Amino acid sequence: MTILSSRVARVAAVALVQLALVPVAVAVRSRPG
Amino acid sequence: MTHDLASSATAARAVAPSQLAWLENELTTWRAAGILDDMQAQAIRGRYVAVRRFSLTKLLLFLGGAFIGVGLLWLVASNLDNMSPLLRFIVVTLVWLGFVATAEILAERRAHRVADRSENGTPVVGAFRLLAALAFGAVVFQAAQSLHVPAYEPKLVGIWGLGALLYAYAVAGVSPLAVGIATITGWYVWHVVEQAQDGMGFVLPVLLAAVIAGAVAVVHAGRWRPSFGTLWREASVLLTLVGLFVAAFPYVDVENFVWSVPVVVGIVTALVAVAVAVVLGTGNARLEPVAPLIAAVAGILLVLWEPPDLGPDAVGAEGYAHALISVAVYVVAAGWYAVVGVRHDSPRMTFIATAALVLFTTVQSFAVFAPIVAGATLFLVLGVIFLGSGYVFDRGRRHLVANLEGASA
Repeated sequence: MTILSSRVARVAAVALVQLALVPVAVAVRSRPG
Repeated sequence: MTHDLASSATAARAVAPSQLAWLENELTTWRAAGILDDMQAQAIRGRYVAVRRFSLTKLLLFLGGAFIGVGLLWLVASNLDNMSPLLRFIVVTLVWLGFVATAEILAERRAHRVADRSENGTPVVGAFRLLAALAFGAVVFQAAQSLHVPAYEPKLVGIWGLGALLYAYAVAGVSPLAVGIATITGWYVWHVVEQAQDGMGFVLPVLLAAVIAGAVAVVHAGRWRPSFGTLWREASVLLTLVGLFVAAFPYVDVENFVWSVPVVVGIVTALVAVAVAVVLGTGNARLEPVAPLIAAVAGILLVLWEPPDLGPDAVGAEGYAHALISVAVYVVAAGWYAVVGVRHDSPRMTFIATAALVLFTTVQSFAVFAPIVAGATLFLVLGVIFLGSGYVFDRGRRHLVANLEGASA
């Protein structure tokens, strides 16, 4: 159960970081110039 | 006894046919030597069953994963006119999260875990992780499309690569790592080529990526996630051989190259990575990160050295020297990697090195000798070159393997 919860926490954390990267990718591009 | 045999047969371990053939051969020897009697040999043999299906399953799963991943990216690339931009982004994100969740649920289930209790799951889990890593790319590109920003942009690939690498390290998945290495390398090379647009602008980032990948492999090896080390090492080999391949062409040169920020950052990162790997490595592994660095220097020098162009039908002495030295550099690099492949028990690496050498010799021979030798003579000359380089390469490889075995014995 501990493995499950730590796995879930790890995967959820990394998915959140990945999602946070998406606006970075788009924002950098949408800058004028 | 019948019951014992029956129960052992039901719990038989699936092994590759070649492994079983080896075992049968060994059992015969042991029986002849009196180490085992017939009953024991039969009992041991009964514990294994040859299964060829496994690799086919794996192939199908990975092909299926790759196809769905590519299809998903394609779906995003072509316009989904029926949906609003926001809805499209949400759908693709949900698909990605679905793959992530499915992979981890499957990895969690005992039935889908490998017998050795490692965190790496079965091919099914690997296939879903591959899908998740590819689907993250779809999320990034869909975000760009939904916001109407140009999708033909290296930074999007870079963010995809970064996300895939994070995911790979979080779940210890080899298949997302492969996606991560490929995309992050693609981003770096694309980024540099875009600014330089010449031979050096391609060769330099490829060779720098090879140096960094080689150093990461050494840091991984034997310490933390050795399977990751194997993949990084193979990536380093492939990149080194691709970089040297392009560097060897006489017309790959420096025209518009600029010392941009990514180039300088890449060089500094590569040097730091090699230094760290040399410090952390032990024994022969210390040499490993230095090899791609030497290859990178050789490749850069080959690009800088531009033999004079004497027209389409002539090759000058310097042109021959350029070809011969680039062939020599390539043979040494491929030979080194073939030996490293043998040392690490990685037939894949040895295969990459050998195949690269064959391809290189073919292309170089045609590029250099084709303009001056015609028809049948060309094939005779090429045949002699192939046989000669193949013989020298194989002889050198065997010699080194024998030395390595002698040293370890």
